[in-house]
Amino acid sequence: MSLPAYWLLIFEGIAALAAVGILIFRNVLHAALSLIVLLLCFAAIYILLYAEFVGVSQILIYAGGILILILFAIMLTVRLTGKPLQVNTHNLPGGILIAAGSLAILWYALGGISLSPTGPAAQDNTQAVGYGLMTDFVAPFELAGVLLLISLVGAIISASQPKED
Amino acid sequence: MSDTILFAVVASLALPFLSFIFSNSIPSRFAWLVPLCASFLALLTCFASTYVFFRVWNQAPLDFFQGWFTSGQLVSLHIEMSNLNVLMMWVVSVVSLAVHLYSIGYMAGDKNQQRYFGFIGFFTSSMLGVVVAGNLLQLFFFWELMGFASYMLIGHWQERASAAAAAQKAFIMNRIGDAGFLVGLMILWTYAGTLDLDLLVSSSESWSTWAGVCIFLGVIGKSAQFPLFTWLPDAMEGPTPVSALIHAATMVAAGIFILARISFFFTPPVLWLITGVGVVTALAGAVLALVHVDIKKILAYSTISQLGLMVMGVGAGASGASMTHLFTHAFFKASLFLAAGSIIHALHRAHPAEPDIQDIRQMGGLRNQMPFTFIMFVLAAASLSGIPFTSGFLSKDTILTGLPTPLLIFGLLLSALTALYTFRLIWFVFLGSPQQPLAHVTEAPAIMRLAMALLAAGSLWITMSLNPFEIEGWLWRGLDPGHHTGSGLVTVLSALTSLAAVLVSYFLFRSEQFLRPVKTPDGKMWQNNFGLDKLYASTFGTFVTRSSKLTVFMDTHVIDKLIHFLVYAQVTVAYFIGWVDRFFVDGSVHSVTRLVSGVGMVTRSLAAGKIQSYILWSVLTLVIFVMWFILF
Amino acid sequence: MENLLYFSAFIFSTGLLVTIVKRNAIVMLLGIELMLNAANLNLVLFNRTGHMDGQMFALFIILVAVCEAAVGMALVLQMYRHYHTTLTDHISELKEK
Repeated sequence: MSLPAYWLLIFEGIAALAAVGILIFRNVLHAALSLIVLLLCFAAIYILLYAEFVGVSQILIYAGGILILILFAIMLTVRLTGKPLQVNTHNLPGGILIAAGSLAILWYALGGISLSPTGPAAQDNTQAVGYGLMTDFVAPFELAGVLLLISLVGAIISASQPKED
Repeated sequence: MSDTILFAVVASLALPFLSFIFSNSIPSRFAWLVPLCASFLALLTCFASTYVFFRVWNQAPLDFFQGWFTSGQLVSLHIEMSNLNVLMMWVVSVVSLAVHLYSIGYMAGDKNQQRYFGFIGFFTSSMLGVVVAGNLLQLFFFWELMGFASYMLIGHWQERASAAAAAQKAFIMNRIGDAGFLVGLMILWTYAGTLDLDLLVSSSESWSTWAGVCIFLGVIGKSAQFPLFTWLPDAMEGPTPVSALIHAATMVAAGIFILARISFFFTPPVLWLITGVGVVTALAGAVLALVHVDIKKILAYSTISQLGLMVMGVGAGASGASMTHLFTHAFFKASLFLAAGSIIHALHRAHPAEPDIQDIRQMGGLRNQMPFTFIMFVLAAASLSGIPFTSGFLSKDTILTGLPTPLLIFGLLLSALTALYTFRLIWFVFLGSPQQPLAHVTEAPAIMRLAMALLAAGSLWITMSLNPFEIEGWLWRGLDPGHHTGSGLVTVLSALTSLAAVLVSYFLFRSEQFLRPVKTPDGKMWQNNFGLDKLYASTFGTFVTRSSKLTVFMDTHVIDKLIHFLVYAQVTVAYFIGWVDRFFVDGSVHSVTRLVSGVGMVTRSLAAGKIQSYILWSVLTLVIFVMWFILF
Repeated sequence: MENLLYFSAFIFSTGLLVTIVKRNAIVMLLGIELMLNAANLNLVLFNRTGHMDGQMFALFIILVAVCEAAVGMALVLQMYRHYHTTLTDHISELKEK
């Protein structure tokens, strides 16, 4: 099935706007919501690229996990002055310079690259990913489990209140 | 020049100088030796000069040259021995000897005898140097030394302010004359190219006249002519022997000597000037002698007058005649002074507290108390007045015969005046009735009498010629060969004039109206040299004072202010430089440091602890690195 | 599909900008998430037939991003408790005195 190119473009556009939104929105909450939009768009893009598993895990993990985390953090840290938190910018000229510079480098590096679209894989994507995890990528898989455990414990300890002595 | 003569000449110069050194360097324990040694040396000098005189008189003149220095050409010391020179040598040494002997008695008890005898010797040596000089520069050298000796001797009694002032006045007036002399020497050196008397030749150009005028100026100063004669009466502040030696016989005569010596050089305008000055001086001196009452001042004015007569003679062309008169004048004037000195000495011993010891109005009738002095005085006075049988009579006649008729009138007038004042003096001092108690007045000591006798002998006619009435004696023939016009008429006239004047004065001063109080003109003009001194003070004196004040003003207000201004300017510049230093130099250093610290601060902000700036800088670095890589 | 590459570069730059510019620690983390996502997209794009390396890599990145986000938020909470501010400027204890 050939994906209509304009679907990709639409999702690109929305994602770009969302990224710019994070930049522009003063309110932290609005910035976080923009991030959600962006993540969902990315998920859509992944699915359109026949990488369903990545797209779905993106939704589940990113949009459903990390964003909730961020929202919690926002809720916990916003009550400083009683009114909604406004975020200002600083070092804007320097930042724009750097961003523009890096963008220029990357676009230059990309040059006149041509990327041929790939069709769907022979196997079902999820199945392929499952196979891969158990055979080629079993070591990182196990390590990832350990990493998750460590980070979980670490996060709990970091965020815990100091004991009242 | 034969060696012995040269030796004798040098000895006669050296011996008095030796006396000078010896007298001053002997320790004061032996001060009593000084008069005797000085007199002994003077005696030796006399022997030497007598020897030279007899060897050279009427022989061929001798000259001795010794190279001195080179200034474009060789200038030599020149000792010349002609009749004139040896005559002057002899007279100087004889008078000096007499004065030495006299001073042994006169200056006994004086505190500074050493200095006195030293300078008498110094003076004698300088004067002898003058009379044997054949080179004008050499002569000037000794001329100046004489002036210095005169200064020291006039001011011998330093504690008296009047003596010091008189010495200064004498020296200054001499110097004015000597300045003229020096200018004359300069003119001669520039135009004639030589200062040697044998080589000078008169010329018809104007420089010759100017040189003559300038040299005559020196004579005016030294020989007390008008207008520079006022120092001589004041110089009587010195001891009487000094007056006798210097201001009667020798130093003032040096001017006449040089005038006669150089007379060949003078052009007619100069000779007119000389004659005029001589006439004025002679008459002025005689008139002033008539109105003063100090015995020494009368003699001083008499000297001035007689010098004027001599100058007149030179101006008229009779320079040999003037020299004869110079010779005789030396003897009789010196002996007059010595006699006056013995009177003063005696009166001082008798009345030590008397302030005006020299006032002739206080004297009188001294012939009985001091007969020897009286005889000596009268003898010399007769010679001064021109009484026959004296040398003065003969020598004055030599001058008078040489004068043209208009001047002759003046000469005869002068003779009359001379006799007048001389006998006025004799009357007041020796004759007449005594004004002071004379019981204590005694005759002078023997040594002084000896000296007086020595000189008074020169007043006799033998000094001029063997025949008392023959003018052209050995002296005039020796000094002026070829000039032998003796007019008998003039001689007779002058003799009559003198005798008549003596009689007139006798009657005049004997009469009642001239008894006390004496009617002498007491006005300021007569007593003060016709106001000449006041004129000098008001013109030159104020001029010099004013220019000195101007100089002082300039110094304090202009030069010092300038220096202060410079100092302030310098300090200001220093401050400015300091400011520049602080502002620019230090400032540049400070700005560099501030720049560095600013850059450092900027650089430090990279490590400010802000995470985002860390990220910013590191990414920026990376971007730039990659870009650099890409682009190049 | 080339425009996706350009697009992911754009997202990456934006994420970098957000990280540097914003004065809130949480928004900084948002920026980091952006960057990670951009990288992910790149990986998926370059994935070729025959193997699944790109997608596997992307999965693991998502995993690590989760860990990092969890720990980061914990740190932000602690920071808020300690300094009572979320302004990154005021937390400058790394600065030399």
